[in-house]
Amino acid sequence: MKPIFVRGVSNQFRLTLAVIMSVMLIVANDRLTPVRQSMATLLSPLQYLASVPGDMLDNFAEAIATRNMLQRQNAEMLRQQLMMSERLQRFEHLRQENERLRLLLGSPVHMDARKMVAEVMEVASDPFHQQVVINRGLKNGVYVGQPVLDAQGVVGQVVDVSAITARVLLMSDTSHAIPVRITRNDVRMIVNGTGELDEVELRHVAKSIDVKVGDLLVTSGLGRRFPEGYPVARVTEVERDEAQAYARVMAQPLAALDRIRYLLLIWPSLDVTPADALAPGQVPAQTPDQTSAQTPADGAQTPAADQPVGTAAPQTGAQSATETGAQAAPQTQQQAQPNTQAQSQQQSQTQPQTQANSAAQNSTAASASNTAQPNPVPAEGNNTAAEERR
Amino acid sequence: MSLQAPNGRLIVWLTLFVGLLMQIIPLPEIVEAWRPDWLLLVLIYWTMALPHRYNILTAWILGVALDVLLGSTLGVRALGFSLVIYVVALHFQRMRNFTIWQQSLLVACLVGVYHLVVFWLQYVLTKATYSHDIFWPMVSSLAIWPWVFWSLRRLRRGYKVR
Repeated sequence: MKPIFVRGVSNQFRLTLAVIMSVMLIVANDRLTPVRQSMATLLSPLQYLASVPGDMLDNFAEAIATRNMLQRQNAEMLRQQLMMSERLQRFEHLRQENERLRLLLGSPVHMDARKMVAEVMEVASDPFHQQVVINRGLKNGVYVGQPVLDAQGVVGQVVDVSAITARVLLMSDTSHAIPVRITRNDVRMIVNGTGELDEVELRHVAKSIDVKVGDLLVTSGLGRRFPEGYPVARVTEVERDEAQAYARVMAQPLAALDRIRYLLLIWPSLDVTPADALAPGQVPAQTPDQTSAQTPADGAQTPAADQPVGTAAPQTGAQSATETGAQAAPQTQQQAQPNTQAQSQQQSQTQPQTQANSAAQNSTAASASNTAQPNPVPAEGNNTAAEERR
Repeated sequence: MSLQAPNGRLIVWLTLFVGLLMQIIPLPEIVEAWRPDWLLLVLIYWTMALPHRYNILTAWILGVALDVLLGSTLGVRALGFSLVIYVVALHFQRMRNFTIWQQSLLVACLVGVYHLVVFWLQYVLTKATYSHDIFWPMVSSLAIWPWVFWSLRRLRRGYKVR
């Protein structure tokens, strides 16, 4: 028979224990990656099991696809492939040219990154976060912090890996941010997720910054996580309200985050030095509207910053390129912080030699001098000074 | 603790496993917000039926497993589960004597508490935005509880789970 009163550990004690353990887990969450990894590995078969019904539905849908549908799809694919291959031909030519120029300058050549296609698994995730689970894991070499793309642009990054699955945090999640630059004028910014799938925001953008609706934002590579040059978002709204400290800039992610199915995992190649990854982000475009956006503060500071640059001999580029590679990374980080002006000026003597032209030198120096601003505006090149040196 | 030898442990863990699976199985977008908390319902049942074998710490372990599977901060759902199951473990005798509809209402309230705790923690930890969606599982759990209850009772009696 069942006893009515059973002695044992009291419920209060159990609850206290559970609460303490939960709080410990919550507090130590960020340091528990290995624990989480092994638990995720243990539980990942469950995820595969849960995705079976969805996969079956997909297979069923494929099985009943009509001949007509397939033909139409095929024709569309062929057309797309033709267009792509035409673009690829042009691209190949440009790539070779770029490689040759880089060789001439003595800068390291970009290597192709290793890639892998992953499929999104249909399992439910925490409703408060924007994540997807993919069917690749440690076994395929996936690592935490790995960039994830789709056909249109950046999707997000891996935050959690098990042996056979991985969890990707989408770029639209509130906890996600990517350093980007505008392709038109190389202004650097940071894209933050808002929690909406089709909207991201650019925070702390000074009102004087030249950003327009329609600007394309690509990864700048400054975060050292995403390789530079991948498209991220397009600016959809710029609002300069005098009552606000910063401009309100919204953008729309290029990747179709609401209907991702196949993703691309990339392994940024290790032999690309930081300088290589960073240099193009610093080359300013010599567009007229950029000089028009120059703030008075920049103008006042540039002459002073120009002095050390003028003394650096551009011809030494080839010899000191390797040094430059090692130094450029810390330097750009310093540019983002105030009070390092003296340091960055010193370094700017050696740094810009990887650049293609002398105008670039000027502007990097200007950006170094620019550090007093809360949001470092990349420098608008002082063109007159550049011409003098030529 | 209990004087009887345990029996049918496998059945209990199997039902909990199925509950865990039901939590992560994909649902169409429209009903996604209405997903009943299967795992919590199964846990509530076993705590009511065998409070000295399956209780707060069982709930805690499964909560951690669910946290890992859903990719949220570890310990959030574990804490929510523990709190709810504590209430059930305190009042299991009273709950057994409720009619099925009274039980359903109480279970719905407990599910609501669980979702509030989870939301609150997520709000503190990361910037979770509030939406009324977090209360829909209360409604679906209310509707689904009698069936969970009846089928699990049948299992328990059929396999003489003690």
